[in-house]
Amino acid sequence: MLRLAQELVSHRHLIAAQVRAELQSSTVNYRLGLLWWVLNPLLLMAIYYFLVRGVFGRGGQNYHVFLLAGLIPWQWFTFAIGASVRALERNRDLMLQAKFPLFTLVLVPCLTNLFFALIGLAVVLVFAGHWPDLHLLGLVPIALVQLMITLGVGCLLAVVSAYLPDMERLTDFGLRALFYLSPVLYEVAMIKSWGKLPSRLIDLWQLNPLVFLLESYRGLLIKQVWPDWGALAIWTLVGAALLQLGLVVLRRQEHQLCKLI
Amino acid sequence: MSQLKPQARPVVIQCQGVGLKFRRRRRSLLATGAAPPVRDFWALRDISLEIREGELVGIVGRNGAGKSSLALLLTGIYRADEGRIQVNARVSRLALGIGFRMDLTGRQNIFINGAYLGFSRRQIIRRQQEIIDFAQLQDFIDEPLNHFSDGMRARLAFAIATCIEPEVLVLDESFNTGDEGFRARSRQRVLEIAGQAKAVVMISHNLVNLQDLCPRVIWLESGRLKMDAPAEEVLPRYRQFCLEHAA
Repeated sequence: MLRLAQELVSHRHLIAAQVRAELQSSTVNYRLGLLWWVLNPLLLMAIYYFLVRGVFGRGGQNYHVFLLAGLIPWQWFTFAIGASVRALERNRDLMLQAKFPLFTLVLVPCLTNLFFALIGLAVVLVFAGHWPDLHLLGLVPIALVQLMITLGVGCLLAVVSAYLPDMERLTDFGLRALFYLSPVLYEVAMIKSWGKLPSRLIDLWQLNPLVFLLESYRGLLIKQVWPDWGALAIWTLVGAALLQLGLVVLRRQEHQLCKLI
Repeated sequence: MSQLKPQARPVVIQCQGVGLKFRRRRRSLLATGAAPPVRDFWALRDISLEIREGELVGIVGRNGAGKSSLALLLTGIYRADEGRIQVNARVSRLALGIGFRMDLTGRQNIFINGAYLGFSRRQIIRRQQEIIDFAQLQDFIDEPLNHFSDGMRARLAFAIATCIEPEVLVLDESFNTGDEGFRARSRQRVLEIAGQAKAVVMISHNLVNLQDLCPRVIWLESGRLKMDAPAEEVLPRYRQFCLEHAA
């Protein structure tokens, strides 16, 4: 991680330029341009709201806010992971043209999608209908944990997919399964009080970091309650460990990966 | 360049028994046809050479002889699988259009490409007018790259790539771009950077070019170093070899 900090500083211009390019490229072709940054989460909310409330007749009051608060961090995670697993393959030419830490290829999509997520969270806040208060600060450690986990997993997947291209497909399906295994469309409390699941299964389910993360986002944004500090501490350690592992693996393989891809 | 005798000048690049190995991917389970006989493939093997300050070294070899692999080794993108490489200077390879994005404008791409060359935003802002002028793209620079012709893209790529100030320059036969007028200017520009560099390694199929520019030529064949001698010794024999093996 120390080396990570060094690399971040020494390559800050490169990273900034790449994120800027991604953001520019996300709007440049569209007449509505920047508006899409806000329209994206709104339209997303509309579709799922219609589906869950209209078609299935589920969800309660303010379901749209509840839903969006889960969907936004979920999308950050899934887009960043999806981009990471393809990062090397897509940037093949780049890797042979210039010398730069491959880590940036995983970092850039993650930061870009973080930017979109921040806009989305702001939209949630508007719809939540109360004045922002200190609880907003709680978003910082939560997002940081998500960032570390996403980057760590992203690095590992990037390396594995270089050796085993099938990983791209597997990841797509894995993410789809994870979507339903994460409390995006439903509440954590719902699972816990359902009564049909053995408690061991619920414990197992809670190993999914998104259970904790999404619950915390919603708590902070909607109900204005603080996250479970004990769990936050544990997940911070897990995130740091994952990130470190991912970085080490990626760095060890860096020179081999250039030849493999 | 220094006025010392060649042997007395400091070594900038030293390779000792360098080899570079590629490993083939395992085949798909349902693949048909013959499996490749070996999984390991040595692109370079047993390469020993020394490049001193002030040298202009040409590299020749047929397709697949390992020229580009050697260039990537020298720039540190590949790492040798055996042997030792010692590089005592900043080696840069002239690479065109790094990270170009077709949907963004010429100007935006200057910043992207420049960032990969290690320039900060401020450094690029300082250079951008010079780049645009050299590429002669004043009217088009704020159009997306999609709307550029191939030649215009190549000119922009070249103008950015030659902003580097390398200590050792590796040229991978990339400066034959654009129309006739641009080609002459680009040649001039490459020679300018080369003149400022401590040493230049030039990979080319253009033997006339090499004959003019490089006193010393290295000949690679099947990943091995076949000859390393003055150009007037290597080039005729290489030409002969190519003719014999053309059939």
